[in-house]
Amino acid sequence: MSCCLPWPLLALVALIRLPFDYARRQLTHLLLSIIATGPVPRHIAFEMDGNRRYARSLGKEGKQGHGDGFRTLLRVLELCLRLRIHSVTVYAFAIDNFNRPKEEVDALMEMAETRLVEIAEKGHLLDRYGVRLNVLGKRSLLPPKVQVAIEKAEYMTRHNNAAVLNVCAPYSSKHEITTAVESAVREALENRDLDGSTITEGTIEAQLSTSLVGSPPLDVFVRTSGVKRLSSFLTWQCNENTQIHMVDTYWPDFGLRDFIPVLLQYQCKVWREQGASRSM
Amino acid sequence: MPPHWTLRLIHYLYVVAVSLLARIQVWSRKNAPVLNAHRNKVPMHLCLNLVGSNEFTSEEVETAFLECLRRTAGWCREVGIAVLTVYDRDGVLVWCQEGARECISQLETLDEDSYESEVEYPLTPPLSEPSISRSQSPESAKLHQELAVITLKTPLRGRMHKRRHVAVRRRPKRDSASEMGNLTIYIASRSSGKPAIACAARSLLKSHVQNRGAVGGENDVFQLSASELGLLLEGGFRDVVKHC
Repeated sequence: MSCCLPWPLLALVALIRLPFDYARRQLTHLLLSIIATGPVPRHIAFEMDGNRRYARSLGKEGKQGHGDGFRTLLRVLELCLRLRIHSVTVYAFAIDNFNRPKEEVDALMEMAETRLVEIAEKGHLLDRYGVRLNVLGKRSLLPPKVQVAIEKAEYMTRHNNAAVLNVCAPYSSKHEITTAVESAVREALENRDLDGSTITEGTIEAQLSTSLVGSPPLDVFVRTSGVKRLSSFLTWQCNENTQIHMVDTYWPDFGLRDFIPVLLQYQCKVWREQGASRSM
Repeated sequence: MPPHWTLRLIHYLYVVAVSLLARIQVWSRKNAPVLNAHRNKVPMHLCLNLVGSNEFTSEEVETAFLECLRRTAGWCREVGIAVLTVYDRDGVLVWCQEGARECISQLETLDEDSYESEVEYPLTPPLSEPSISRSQSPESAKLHQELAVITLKTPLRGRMHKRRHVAVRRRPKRDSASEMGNLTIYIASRSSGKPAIACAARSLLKSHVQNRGAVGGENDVFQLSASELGLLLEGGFRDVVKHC
């Protein structure tokens, strides 16, 4: 609709919307600060699914949905940071996604190359909130230019310690667990433990990529777009105490309306556990 | 720090909204089709995660779990689901595996009236101890023993002729052109998960040390691929892996 209106009218519409946008932002901040008075997850993971279906529902090409998905990532990340959630892990690209059409993969690689550095720059989101960026996964599969961009973005945020953003790309849990087992065995060999008595669940868990970057255990897992499976994302980390939410909304549409119930359910769970431990 | 009163209010409103939504969903829910209705798709592998309660004694929990197993196995046989995994964290079903096999036997006994009899020698040995996945080598046999997964098999209802270890063949009355098939039931607990992976890691270490010693390669760096680890953990469950 906006493309059909002349620019003076567009400017007038924007001017009228200003106070409403301001009021909405203030109400959002107020709501988040109220929720933050209760328990909030320390580590939350998002499987950002539904970008292509979202784009196709609007009559666009599937690959165009990834741009909208990235904007939603920034929006949701800011919500998490305002709630003082320490770690946010997102599933940006699966190892299997290299099988997608070359055009789409190239578009995603190009987006990764430019946007990661952009958000790590001074004054941008990661800098404003003191967020350290980690890219987890089998980086050797990425094009060299993207690997360089990742190293640059990680280097720019290396001193930030208020929060952590883990971007899993290209990632699969099978690869992560295999690497963790391999590292645990190598560590045992280095320590001359030849019968493996020091290899336990805990030593393998310590070698997982999320543990190596200092993320606490996963409290909440959210998958969007209505698909009800984990798809090899954080299958080890989704342990006995992780709340798993399968939300019907496509990722680009995910917002406060979908996030609030997730947070409220987490708080109910924590209060229930606190009540149970007090009564014991 | 106690929650702010506005947060309590938000939670109260949320509970009211969720309760209303749940009631609306119950009223508007259509009746589920009957068990033997035609379905375009049926899952090949169903997993049931059983959770007990501290309000009940361990015997009551065991009885309830066995009843869940019996019912679910019966439904799976009826619908044609080929693999059922029943998991409970504390291993209640693993510990009462005799009871589990008895439950499954009861399902087969209920089918006896549906079949005519004819004598046949069994082609496979009778069920004895809990079966463990076929081992490829002594190492993988030992590993699979520590996976703590119990495997039971029972014929799918109406899909194959009945076999018992007393060698009696029964022909189904209703459908002579029936498919051959078994319902495979895996009983698992927490021990089958992360502890099994740790056990696999220890086995890999010992195997590497042995091989390294044999060929004199003290400086060989240990390397592992996802397919190697997968084969070690799931090699005895190939059919499950295919169908998942």
